Amino acid sequence: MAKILELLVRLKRWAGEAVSGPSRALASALSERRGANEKALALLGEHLSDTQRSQFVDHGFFEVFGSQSGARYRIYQRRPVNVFELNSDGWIVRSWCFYPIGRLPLGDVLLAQKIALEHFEREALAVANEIRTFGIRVAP
Amino acid sequence: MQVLIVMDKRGDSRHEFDFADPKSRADAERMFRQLAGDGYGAIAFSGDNSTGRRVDSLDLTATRTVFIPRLVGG
Repeated sequence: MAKILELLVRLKRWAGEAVSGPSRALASALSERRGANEKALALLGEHLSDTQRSQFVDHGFFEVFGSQSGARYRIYQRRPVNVFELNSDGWIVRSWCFYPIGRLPLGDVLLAQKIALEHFEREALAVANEIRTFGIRVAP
Repeated sequence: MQVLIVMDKRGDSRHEFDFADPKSRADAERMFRQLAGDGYGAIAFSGDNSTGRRVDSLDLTATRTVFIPRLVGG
């Protein structure tokens, strides 16, 4: 009987450690990640124009114009492929995939993409992977 | 006060400097060089944060400078 009780105590302790230890670490990591995401979205918000902010809030994307080509790009709030080049009729002509190194929260990635296209478009697209896209029209 | 904003996995870290103070400005310049050497790109903003300009050295007229890590293709 004593052995069974001892076993139960050990099992309970083991279960408690198994659940509370990693759970606490996971909760802490998730909380930290949530904080980082909120912070990054706040920084992004500080750098959007009024029009871009409205687009982002209403539709989950914002548009920028390339600093060198003047091309219109739509940046969606998602990953991995989230940058689309549109023609004047609102058709997607290309998708671009590029991002900053360092496991940044999404808001930072979006801001880095916006800054890159608006300030050093050619340099950004030179490292990006291009995906030719035809026949997709998006809302103007 | 002027602020250097560095994107990182916690969102960002902000470092305030007073460019009118030589020591503070020297610290900011040192930090700029360090980040540029690590491959960060710098964009300086004055007033309206929606438009900025790319800079290769500390812009003393900027109210904030945002540093983004090197870009890679996905």
